[in-house]
Amino acid sequence: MSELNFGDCIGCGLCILGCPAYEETGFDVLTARGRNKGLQAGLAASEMEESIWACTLCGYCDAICPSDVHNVDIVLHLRRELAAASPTQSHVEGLAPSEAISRVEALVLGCTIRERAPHLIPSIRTFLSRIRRPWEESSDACCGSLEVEAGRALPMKTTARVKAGVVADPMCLEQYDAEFLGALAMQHLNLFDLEPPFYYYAPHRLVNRDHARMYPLYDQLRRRFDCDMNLDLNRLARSTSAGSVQGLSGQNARDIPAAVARLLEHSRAERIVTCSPADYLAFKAYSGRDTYFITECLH
Amino acid sequence: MLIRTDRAARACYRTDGGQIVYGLPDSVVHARCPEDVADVLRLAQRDRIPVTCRGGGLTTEGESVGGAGILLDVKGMNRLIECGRDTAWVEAGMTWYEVAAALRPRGLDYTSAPLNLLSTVGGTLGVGGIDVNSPRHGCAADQAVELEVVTPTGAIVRVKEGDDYLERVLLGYGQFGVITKARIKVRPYRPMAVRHFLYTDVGVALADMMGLVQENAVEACAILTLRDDVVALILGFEGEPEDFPLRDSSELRTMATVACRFAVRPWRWRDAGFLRRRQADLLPALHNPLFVRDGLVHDRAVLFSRLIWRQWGGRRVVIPDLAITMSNFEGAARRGIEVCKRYFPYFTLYAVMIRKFGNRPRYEMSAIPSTADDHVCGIEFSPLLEGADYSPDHYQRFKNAIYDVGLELGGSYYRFGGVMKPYIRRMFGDELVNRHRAMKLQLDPAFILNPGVVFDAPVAA
Repeated sequence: MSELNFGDCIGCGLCILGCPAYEETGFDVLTARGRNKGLQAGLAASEMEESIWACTLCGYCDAICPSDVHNVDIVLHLRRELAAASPTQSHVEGLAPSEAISRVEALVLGCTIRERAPHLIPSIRTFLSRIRRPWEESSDACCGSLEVEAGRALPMKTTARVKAGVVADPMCLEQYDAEFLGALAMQHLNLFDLEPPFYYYAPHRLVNRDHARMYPLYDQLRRRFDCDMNLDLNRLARSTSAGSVQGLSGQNARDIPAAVARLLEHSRAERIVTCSPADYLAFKAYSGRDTYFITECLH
Repeated sequence: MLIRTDRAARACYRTDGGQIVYGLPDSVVHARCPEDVADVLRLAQRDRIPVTCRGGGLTTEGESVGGAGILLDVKGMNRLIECGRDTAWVEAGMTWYEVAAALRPRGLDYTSAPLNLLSTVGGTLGVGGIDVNSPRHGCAADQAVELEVVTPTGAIVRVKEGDDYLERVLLGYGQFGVITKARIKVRPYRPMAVRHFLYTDVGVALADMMGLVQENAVEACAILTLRDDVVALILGFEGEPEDFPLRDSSELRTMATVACRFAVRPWRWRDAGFLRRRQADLLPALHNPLFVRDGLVHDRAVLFSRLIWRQWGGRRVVIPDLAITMSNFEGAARRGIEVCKRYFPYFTLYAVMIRKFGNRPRYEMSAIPSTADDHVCGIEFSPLLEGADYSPDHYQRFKNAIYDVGLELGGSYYRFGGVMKPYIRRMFGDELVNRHRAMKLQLDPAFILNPGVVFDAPVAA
């Protein structure tokens, strides 16, 4: 664990402000501060399993930490430790992407769209055509992001230069250095029918983990349309937890309906738009409001 | 109520913001409502189990660290219950961040709270809550007009301004009850224009700040220094910024003065490097476009909250302070600076003023020193460690030296509990402390609530 900087945690607690696990349970132990304090006290991963599996890797804690503690890396490292200790689940070598995915301009849809929201595919294709981006689809093989998040594999992008052209699900960006469909949409706002009032759910992982690059894109949307968003006073994105290994696998699941209700507490907008597939499904199921994937809003 | 006894849950609370005192409680109780708090206190009173109450856990002298017994985490009581135009009824486990986030969609803001937004409402009302808004509005404890409190024996009571028990609990350092709800004053939210003025003499800067405060000229103000080389008077305006006849120096002149000082003292060139590093880190953060637009700071408290931890946080947070009268403000600052120089190469001073509302009983044994003035003053002295570390003894000697200045000048301290408890009797005298301790014993017969933080526990028979 020496390369992981949990020792730099000063216990300020800024990380708990937008932590989905904390919002739901109120338990410090499930937050980055809780894990870091446990590690500082000499606890082993096996004594902190609950906390290690509660994290949804939303990246809020990394973005806000004044000491630059790499909380997401710490959780992934601890998950790999736990997986290694459980021989039946241990295969931490990197997952090889399929040949099709490694081609430079492929479109990676991701498991969620392909399996749970295939009706979005035509509008995604139309959007990419309109902005003149090739959209040859990748093979059906899973990108393996869930395996990475579960600690059963290393992310490919850290071990090899794997490229996909466009990725439609932020989850898949664990595996690929690629452009995100939702970010492309923010660069072509004129193509969309976005009549206010509406609530836009910004992809929390992207905004939090790549804040300097991604926040301005979504902030531009907020300023232009004066829409409600899942951005808080810290200008960081709060999450539903739907787009996480817990939300997608059902194991250690967070209370997604409650998270949706919390996010919408102050918004009266009847229309919800997002570019995050899992969150799209969550809002559709639990918000009781009209919910659209961004490409469904094409003129 | 949720009770946890596993090591991971207890380890979260092994230390506080100061990271000087460590201890593991036997169990952690997550209270979700006042009834949970009442149940815990009744049980603890019956079985004589110590209860350490904890909100944000940002004490610095171990006040919220429980070495045994029950750690009562109140952050789960975090709802805005109702909100009017002038007051809001909030659960006391809300952090000020949560209060700000809940009030903002209503176009409102709190009146006075610490810039460190991770503190909870209850904890802040218990110790005072002093910051840049305090010159106009007073400390955070003076923003509460009604409280719900669980007594140390487990009764849930409501108290309003004018009630004796309210005066005991506010600024009572958690000794006389657990605040579970508070009706606090609120006001319209407005972004703030922030201006800073540079000085090379701390005395001149302090005098200018006192003048502005006495004229009630600004919404917010504070003085921040890097060593005593660069002194910044920071003023906040919610309306159009005004011009005042200040005795500050231009940025160019200040820098030239500092450069001249260093030029003839080669042994201080490292200090010049320190100033440049801090300036390079601090100024972009203060102009972060995420929070500053068109010259106005939006969500100022959020901006400053992270900045505080980034600039002044560390593996040790050592912030001895002096709470003093206006007549001793400059003397305390100058003497404190001399102490800082004896112990650390780099340090900062943070000075604020606090409006005082007459002689309320709550001020009697608190961080608000006794004076007939309308305002009192506070100064924090923080070493900037720059990666260095020192022994715990070194830090303690430094804190003692600062507190000794307080003893000589008279006044009080903001952080007088926990490790610094021996100074309580020296500052306030036996008569006053014994009187408050007797009140504590009357309300808390088994002496279970935050024991040892302020008063010595009775010797067991």
